[in-house]
Amino acid sequence: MKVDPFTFEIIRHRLFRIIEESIITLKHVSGSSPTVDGNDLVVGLYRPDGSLMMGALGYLHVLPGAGQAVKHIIKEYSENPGIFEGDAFLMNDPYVGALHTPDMYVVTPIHYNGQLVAWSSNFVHLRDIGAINPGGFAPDSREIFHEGFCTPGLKVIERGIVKKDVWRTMMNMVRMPEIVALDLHSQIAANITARQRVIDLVAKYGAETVGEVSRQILDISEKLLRERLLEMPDGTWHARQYLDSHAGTFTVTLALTKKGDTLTYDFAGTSPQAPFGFNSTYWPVVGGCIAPLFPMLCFDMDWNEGLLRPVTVKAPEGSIVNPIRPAPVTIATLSGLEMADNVALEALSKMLLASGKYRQEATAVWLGAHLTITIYGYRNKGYMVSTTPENMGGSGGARTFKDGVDYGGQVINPVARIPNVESMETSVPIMYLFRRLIPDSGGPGKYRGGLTTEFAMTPHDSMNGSVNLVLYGRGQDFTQCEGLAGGYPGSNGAIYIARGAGIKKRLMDGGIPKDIKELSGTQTLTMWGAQQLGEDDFVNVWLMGGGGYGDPLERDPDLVKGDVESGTVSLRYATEIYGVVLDAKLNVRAEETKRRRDKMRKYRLAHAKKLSD
Amino acid sequence: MVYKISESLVIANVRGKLVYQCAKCGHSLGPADKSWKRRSLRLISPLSKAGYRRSTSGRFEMREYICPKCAIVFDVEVALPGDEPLYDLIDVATIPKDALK
Repeated sequence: MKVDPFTFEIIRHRLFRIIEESIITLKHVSGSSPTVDGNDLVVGLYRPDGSLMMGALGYLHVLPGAGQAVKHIIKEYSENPGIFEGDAFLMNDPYVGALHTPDMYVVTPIHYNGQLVAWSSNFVHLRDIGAINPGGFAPDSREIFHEGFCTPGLKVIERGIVKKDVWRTMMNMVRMPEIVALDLHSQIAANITARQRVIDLVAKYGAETVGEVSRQILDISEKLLRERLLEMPDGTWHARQYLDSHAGTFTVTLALTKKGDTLTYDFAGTSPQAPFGFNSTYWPVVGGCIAPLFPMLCFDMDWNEGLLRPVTVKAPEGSIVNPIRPAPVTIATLSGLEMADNVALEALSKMLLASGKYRQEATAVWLGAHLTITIYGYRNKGYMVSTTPENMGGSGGARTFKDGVDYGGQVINPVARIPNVESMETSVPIMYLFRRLIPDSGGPGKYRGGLTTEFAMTPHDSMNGSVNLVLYGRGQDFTQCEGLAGGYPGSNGAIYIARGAGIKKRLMDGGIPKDIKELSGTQTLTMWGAQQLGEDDFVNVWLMGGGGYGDPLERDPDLVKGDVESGTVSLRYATEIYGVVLDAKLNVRAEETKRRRDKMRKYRLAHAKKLSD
Repeated sequence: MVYKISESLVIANVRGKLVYQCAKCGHSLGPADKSWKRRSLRLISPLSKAGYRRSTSGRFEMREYICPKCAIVFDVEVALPGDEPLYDLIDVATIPKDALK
C-alpha cells in the first residue's frame, strides 16, 4: 500500500503526540511524586502484533520489556480469558518483561469497529507492591516470591468495566492502597486517552493507512540505524563494572561488537546470579543496552522496534544479567540492570570515539548508581511510604567537547527530574537538613564530570518520633561513574546513619547545620537492610558524580580557575589533580603550572610499568 | 593522515603500515591489528587519586594507561587487582579508506 508523504508525516507526528498527551493525562491523575515530579514512567504505542510502534521519553530501558508484555498477553490470553474492546491488563512479572515487581505495566488493546488496531502500554513505579520490605525494593528478598504481588498478565478491566474482585485483591496486597490505586487509575486514564486518540486517527485515515504507516516507520528506523552503523569502522569494545555489596563482589562484563550494520552485546564473563535482588532478567537487560543507544546514536530517529532489529543481546543464563526463576530481582533497577546501562554506555562511547563523524556523541558515565532509600512511618496515624528522589537528578558525564552538567540527569531517562524537598516532606514524616552539590564529586578530566548531590534528613512530625528506612545501596567501593578516554571516575556513593546526633537541640538552639561535622553522635556507613531512625538521628546519602573525559593535565588552566572560583573544584585538587597553581587571588600562575604539570608527567613515567612487568 | 580513535589515540599510515600512535607526541604504539594497550605504560594508584569520596575500602585500583614518551593518559580502568585489562580492537580494514591515504 502506498501512503502519500504528507499523510505519512501527519500520522507519524500524530502518533508521537498521542503518547505525549497520554503522559500528560497520566501525570494529571497520579498523586505519586516519583511519577509526577520525577518522570519515573514510560508510555508506548504498539502495533497489533505487540511490536513497539512509538516509544516516548522516560526510562528507556523499559521499552523492549513493555513490548514483551504486550506480546505475552497476545500469546497467552487471546483465547482465555480473551482480548476484547475496552479491556486492560496488569503485568509486572520480571520473568516476562517487567524490570521488577513495583514497575507495573497497564496494557490496553485498541479496537476500531471491532478490529484490533494497536496497543497502548505504560508503566509507573507503584509506591508499594506488598513485598517483604515496604516500598518495592526488598533487600530481604531471597526469591521472587518475596517480592510482592506479581502477575504475568491479569485482566483488570473487561469491556470497560473494572473487575472488582481483581481490583480488591490487588489493593488487599499492597501498603498504601489509596496511593497505589491512584497510580493505577492514572495509568488506566493514560491508556484511555491513547485509545481515544488512536481511534480518532483511524476514523480519519482508515485502519489500513495507519497500519501501513506504523509498519513503515519501523522499517525506516531500522534502515537509518543500519546505514549509520555502516558509516563506522567495525570492532569490539569492552566495559566492566563491579557491584560491591555485603554479599560479595559481582561483575558485569560486556563486549560490544559492531560488524557491518549490526551490533552484538555479549555479557559473557558476567558473575553468576546473586542470592539477593541484584539480578536483572533478560528483557530489562536488552533495555539496558538500547537505553544509551537511542539518545546517543538514534537521536534523530523514531524510537521503535525497528531499532532493535540490528541488535543482538547475549546474556548467559544463570548470571546476574539473566537469572533463572525464582531468583530475586527486586533491586535490579539499582544494580544488575543499572550496571548493564553503564557498561552499554561505556562500550558504545568507545565505539563512537572511533566513529569519526559521531565522536561528539560519546560521553563518560552519568549517574552510575541510584542510591535510593525507602522511608516509611506514620504521621497522624496515617501510614506513609516513599523512596528518596534525589537519584533522578543524577550527574552529567563529561563529553568530548564540554564538561558534564552538574546534577544533569541521566542518559537512560532524558526527562528525569528531581522534585522539591517539600514534595518528599509531604510524602513521609521527615525533614531535610540539607540537599546540596558535592564539590570535587565530578570525575576530573580535560572536561570534568558534573557534580552530584548529597542530602541528609531526620524524622519530623512522626507519630512516634521515628521513621523506618530500607537501605539497598551499592557503590561505596567501586564508583560506577567511570571516566572516558583518560578521564578519572566521579565520586562514589555512600549512606551514613548518625545516632544521637543532637539534631533536635541544634535546631532548637541555632537553626539548620551547614555540615554534618557540626553534629555530635556516631556516624556509621550502612548500605543495606532495615534500620530505624530515631528523633535525634539522621541519614546522610551521597550520590555519584559524573565521569571525566580526557587527561586532567590537559584541562585548560583557566577552566580550573573557574572551577575553584565557583566552588566546583577545591584548591587542593586544582593543584594535586589538575596541576594548576593559583595565587591568593585565584589567578593562574602559568610558569608554575607548567613546571608542576611537567613534574607530574615525570612522576607518571617514573612509576608506570609495562603490562608484562 | 591519521584516524582518531580516542581523545589521545590515532591510527596512522606509516609507509603503508597502519600503526597506533599517541595523538599528542606521535609515539608509536605498535601495529593497528594488535591492542595499543600492550605498548603503553600502566600506572596503578589508589582510587583516592581521583579525589576524595571515591572508595571506602580501597579494594579497587585505578589504572592509568599512559604514553611511554609524553605521559598523556590514554585510558583509565577501575578494577580489582589481578583482573585482566580490557583490550578493545578495531578492524582496520573497515576504516574509511580516504581517512588514511
